[in-house]
Amino acid sequence: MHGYAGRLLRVDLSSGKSWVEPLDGARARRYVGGRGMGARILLDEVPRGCDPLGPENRLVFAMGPLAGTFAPGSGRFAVVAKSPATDGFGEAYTGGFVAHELKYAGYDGIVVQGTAPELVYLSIVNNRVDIRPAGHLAGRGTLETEEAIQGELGDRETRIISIGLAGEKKVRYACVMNDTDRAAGRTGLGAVMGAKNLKAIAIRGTGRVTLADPKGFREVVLANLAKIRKHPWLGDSPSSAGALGTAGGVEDLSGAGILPTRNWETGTWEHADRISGTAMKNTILLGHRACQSCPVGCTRVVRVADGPFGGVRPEYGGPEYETVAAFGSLCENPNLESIALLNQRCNVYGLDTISAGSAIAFAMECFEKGILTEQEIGFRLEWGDASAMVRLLDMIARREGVGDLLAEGTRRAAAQIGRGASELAVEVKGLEFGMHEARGKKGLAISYATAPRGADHMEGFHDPSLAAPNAWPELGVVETMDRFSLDGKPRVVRLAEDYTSFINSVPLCSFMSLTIAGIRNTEEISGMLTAATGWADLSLAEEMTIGERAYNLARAFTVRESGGAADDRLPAKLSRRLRDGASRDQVITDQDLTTALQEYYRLRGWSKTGTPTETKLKELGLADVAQQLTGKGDGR
Amino acid sequence: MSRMIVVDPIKCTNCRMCELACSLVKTGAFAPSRSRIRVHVFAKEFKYIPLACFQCASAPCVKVCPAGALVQEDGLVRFVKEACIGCRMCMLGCPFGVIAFNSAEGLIAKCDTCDGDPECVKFCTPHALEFRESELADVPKGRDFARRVAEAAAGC
Repeated sequence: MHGYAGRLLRVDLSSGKSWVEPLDGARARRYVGGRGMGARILLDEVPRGCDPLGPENRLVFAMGPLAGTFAPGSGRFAVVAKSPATDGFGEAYTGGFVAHELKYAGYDGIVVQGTAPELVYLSIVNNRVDIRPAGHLAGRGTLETEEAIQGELGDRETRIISIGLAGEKKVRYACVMNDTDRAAGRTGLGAVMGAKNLKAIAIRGTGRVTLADPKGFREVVLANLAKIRKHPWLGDSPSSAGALGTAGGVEDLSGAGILPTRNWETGTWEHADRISGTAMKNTILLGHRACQSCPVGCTRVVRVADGPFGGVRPEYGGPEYETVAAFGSLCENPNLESIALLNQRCNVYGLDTISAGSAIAFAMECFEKGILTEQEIGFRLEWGDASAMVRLLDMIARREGVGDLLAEGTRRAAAQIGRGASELAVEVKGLEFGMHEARGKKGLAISYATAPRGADHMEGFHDPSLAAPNAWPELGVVETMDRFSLDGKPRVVRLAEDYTSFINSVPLCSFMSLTIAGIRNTEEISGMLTAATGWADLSLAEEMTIGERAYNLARAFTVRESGGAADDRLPAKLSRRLRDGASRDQVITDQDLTTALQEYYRLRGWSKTGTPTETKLKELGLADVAQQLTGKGDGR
Repeated sequence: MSRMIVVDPIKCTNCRMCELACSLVKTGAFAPSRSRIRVHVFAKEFKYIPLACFQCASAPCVKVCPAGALVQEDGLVRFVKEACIGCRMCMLGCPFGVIAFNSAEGLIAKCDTCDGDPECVKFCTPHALEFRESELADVPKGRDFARRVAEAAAGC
């Protein structure tokens, strides 16, 4: 089996046993890896209504056939489990070096079940798998944990997946961390790992990954690299992701009125230039670095030696766009050094920067409106007060005082607070918005409302890409579209989601596979997969089906767990007018959304309430999933 | 004139493509543990240093090899696989630790610049690795330094 290691590692923390399961070749081509593999395992093995923080939940680390190779952007894997943030399909992707190392150790993925009686870590050295005590690592931060384990195992090349204090405390937006500053950020999977009493997984592999056609693989990767480097944002230009990071476009976003500001009150901010990639480059940036097999290197490396927000170290990287917006404009905080410190603390604690920033912005607005008082919080929480933000972040990770409430996520916190707080929570299904303003790019609203994991900025597409014609001719997306309109968008959203879902099932980094108005490297991506695996006749059409299958699996899990009602709605704020800027007065009304969603459901072959129909599921070879949705099967 | 792989650590992003390119061309599969070039990571200092055989002009490995398996030839330290007895004396002799041992084959492995067409260089997108004439290898570094002098002088 080329490309693949051909084996999954199974670990039951309750019994302390581990075993190897062979990977079925036909199944591999249907689900590939990443999302497809993870979603299939959840539907097969997680019982309906299971407690995401209980022993029955599965925690899946899913690699794929390109991990281990020099395919650009292949240093990526998916973490999948039932989410404690949404109670639906939980998943997050991360880069770094772990995916490759696990392949060299001889596995395509790890499936963890059960709960360890006390805090442990898993050590995987090729065929040797040990469960070791981790009591001495309790409460330790990411880097400390990594260094301690590398010391114990006597090998500093050991790659480590871990959780910090937030995961141990089961903060509902705790991350799974790896390689010090890489995060499987969204949907609270760190809390699942914490609930399993699993502090870390240490991985060392000295084996190899073989290819069906090594020569052909090399050629197609060179062709792909050439295309990627020609893309203006992925090459050597002074405004590229390598030069300025993902926050390079902050000023432009503010100019277009789509930079989330003041808990989504407006999309434009006078201090945007103080937190942008350019500002970072001119102040605290040391340089940039890459994940495994990446020709771009969007990762920032920053240092803040001293001052009120000092102690920021290069090992922890630096803030990317989502972090800069969440701790910057969303909280009206123009202090870049404080953003760097908040980013580092999130990496130490293992916290999702998007949801953490969103929780703080939500609390700030609650304070402003008198919904949360100085007494309840313990101090004043004014917009832009960076010191108060750092203090509140620490309280969230430790679940102290009001931090304990905010650690539940904005949806649950708002419900507990009452007093109209839910009007200020900007989330879908319990997952806070990515830092992208859907009122100024309305196609995104469809993904936010319907995506399996909640308000997801990574599934569909971002409307400004359709400002020029021929954004994606391979699939017939040739016309220009107005970013403020929902007209024609459901079709494009669906296409983009299915292709993204295929990419997430390989998985590859989103930037190395930019879909709409992107690199135009779909052929090279097919070529890499074919040369790696030897799959004959792999076409874009089959890839779209693989993506659609994985998407429907994920959606089916969320629908199954929510009891059938998909909860596809947008938060109250989206029906309020943006205050000013280039997207001023834009809203998304319930009426607009409902019309778009009906069109979207129809195109997807889903029912009027958004449930994948039996016909659609059968067409995708998922008849057993249809049974689960009609309540006959419970997943086991 | 001979050519050599010149490393500019400032440009290295730690993507490790060089290790994979090397292992693929030399072993037919991806296995960084079998690569002849290795990136050494200093996270605290934010430095990544790729190291491969420097093809020393007066190579200690050649001097200590008892089997004549390492020979100096056209500016390269060439490995004669057939002669290697797997004693690993060269690994002890090498001051840079750039000779690896492959226990499966019982042989050492070292960079041979892919016979003057190094694969690692082709996959180094940040251009931290370049293959240049030995005599000219330090020209860019010299020029960088000279530029700083020029800039300092202009600031006066």
